[in-house]
Amino acid sequence: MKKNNILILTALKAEAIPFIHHFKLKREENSKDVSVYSTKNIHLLNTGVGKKYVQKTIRNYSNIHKLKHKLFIVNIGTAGGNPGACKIGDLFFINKITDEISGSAYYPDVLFKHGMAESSLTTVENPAVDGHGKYDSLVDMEASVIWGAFTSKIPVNRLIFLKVISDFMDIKYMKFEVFEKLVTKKLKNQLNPITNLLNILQEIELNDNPSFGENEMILLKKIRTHLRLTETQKFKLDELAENRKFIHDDLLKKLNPFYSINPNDKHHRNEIFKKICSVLST
Amino acid sequence: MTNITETKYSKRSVQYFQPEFSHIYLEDGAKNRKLTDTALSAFPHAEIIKIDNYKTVFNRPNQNIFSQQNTKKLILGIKKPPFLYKGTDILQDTHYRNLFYTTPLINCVYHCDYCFLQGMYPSANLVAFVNESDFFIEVDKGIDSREFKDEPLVLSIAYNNDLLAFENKIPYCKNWIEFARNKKNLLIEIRTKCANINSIKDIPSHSNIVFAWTLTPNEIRQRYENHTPSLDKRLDAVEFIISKGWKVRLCIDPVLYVENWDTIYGNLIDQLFSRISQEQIMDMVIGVFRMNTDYFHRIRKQKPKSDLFYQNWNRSNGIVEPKKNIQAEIITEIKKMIKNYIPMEKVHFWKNEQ
Repeated sequence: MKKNNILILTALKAEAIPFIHHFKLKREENSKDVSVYSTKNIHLLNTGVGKKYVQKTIRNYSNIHKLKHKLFIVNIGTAGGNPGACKIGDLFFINKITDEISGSAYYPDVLFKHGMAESSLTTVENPAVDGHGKYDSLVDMEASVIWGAFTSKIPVNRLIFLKVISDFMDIKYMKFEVFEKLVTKKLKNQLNPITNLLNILQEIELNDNPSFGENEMILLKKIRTHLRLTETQKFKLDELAENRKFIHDDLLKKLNPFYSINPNDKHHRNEIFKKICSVLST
Repeated sequence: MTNITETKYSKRSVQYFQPEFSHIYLEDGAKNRKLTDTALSAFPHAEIIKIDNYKTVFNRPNQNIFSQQNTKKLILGIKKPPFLYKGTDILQDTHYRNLFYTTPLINCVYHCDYCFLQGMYPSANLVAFVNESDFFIEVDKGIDSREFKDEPLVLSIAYNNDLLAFENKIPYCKNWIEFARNKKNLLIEIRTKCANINSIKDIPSHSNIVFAWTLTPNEIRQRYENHTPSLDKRLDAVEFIISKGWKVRLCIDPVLYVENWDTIYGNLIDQLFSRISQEQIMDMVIGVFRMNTDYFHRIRKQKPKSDLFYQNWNRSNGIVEPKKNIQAEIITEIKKMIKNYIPMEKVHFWKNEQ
């Protein structure tokens, strides 16, 4: 069975390193504006830190990469935590994301067994580093934007957010290089539970897959184009084809005789379409 | 007519899903209410997630109900008006004219392929409303303001759910039964497929409640229903409830036109009336598969795995239904099957009125 695709999003390269090594991901040479690493079905996109960078990177990525079917988006990164509620290095599955500026809350579905503690998360505009700790939840700078960028394209059950605690929002005076090393180390320590979940995501069968195979889609497209079908006819063709595919699974055989016909006029087109409907309905 | 072949969800992936009701979303306004405490104690290991309003979770865009059906979550919320909804043409099944429904619970613990709820709501999760007293106040107002004063207010409380199947978690049926006791001009219908009646077995019966059991042949249950009890178990429950003096309505709804449908439903009817006589029941409701066209298309968009959604149905007056000749065949044959068991005036057939 074909595995599901996974697109991992990390803000920092330091967060990406453990996964690049673990999955042996290779840098995509043709992705000029974005930093993408891939194997067959696992891809990693480095978004940069902060809402603006994330938005821009996802937009650039979407311009050159078609979002694949059966795709899970997994944001993996570090977050600030509250010393009373967690330890540095703890891993959390995020069940609620609040955007600090808009106040909107988003709820990723929690469908799969993940074996992690769960937490809510607030996405902030500016780094929370001065140690004043005004947040009850975890804090990051990307999650709400990732949610916003993908929810219209990907079902919400395919969006997952995992955060490892890197600090208690008190790293104002920490050197960035030191912070990067810390981030890589803490994520590396949590590779096991994270990759366990990623393995489940690769294997899981969800009922939200497309109806047609690639060849069937090509054939349907050819028929639509050659016959110059009206919108209503296109809708009917898709519906009957889906019915045929589900009940009999002989769509290619039934539609093959029609794909190369070029109609002389509207009347001829309608006659051919009528024949197609009849063949698919029997 | 479709062939009887098992159409099942993938079993291989089941091990990967969270258990049912692993998470409870708790609306701010629902905290510290009696039903909330009851629900929370029924799921002591659930992860609680605080929310402002149940709609922010339940109405999220781009949810996939078929994925969610693998591990439903519970949302505890506060219902705001309206509380009573006029009975729809699709619900229509008896001669009562003051027909309404209400929704103490949205969605169902079962998931049947033919169920309209999959298209009515954007989520498979359950919403349990905990402000029960607000419902009761509105029902009292509804009784007073009903249009046809010579008839009771007939209220279905399990139109969008199976309340009895959730009774061991939240005792909605018990509370509604007690609310309705001694009320004048109120008849509450509790429709169910559930066979577990332990939680209501000791409640003294009264005449303002009718339990309506949907009965499904086992062949159809195995193919189109998920997690529902067998026909035998449902009939056990019906017999017990009758023995306690409750009014009972029996529903064979929907009758699905599958291969050998007549034998399958004929056996169901024979089995049913071998155990229960017509004198023991209030009436019977029989209907074909039907669904609001918008709901049907919404479900199809999500690529359901049931062949029900890939058949060439008739579309008429905003309703997806079997072709007229098939409907006629079903009604004619069912009438033949039941005529020796029950007088026709006690049987209501659903029909598309327009």
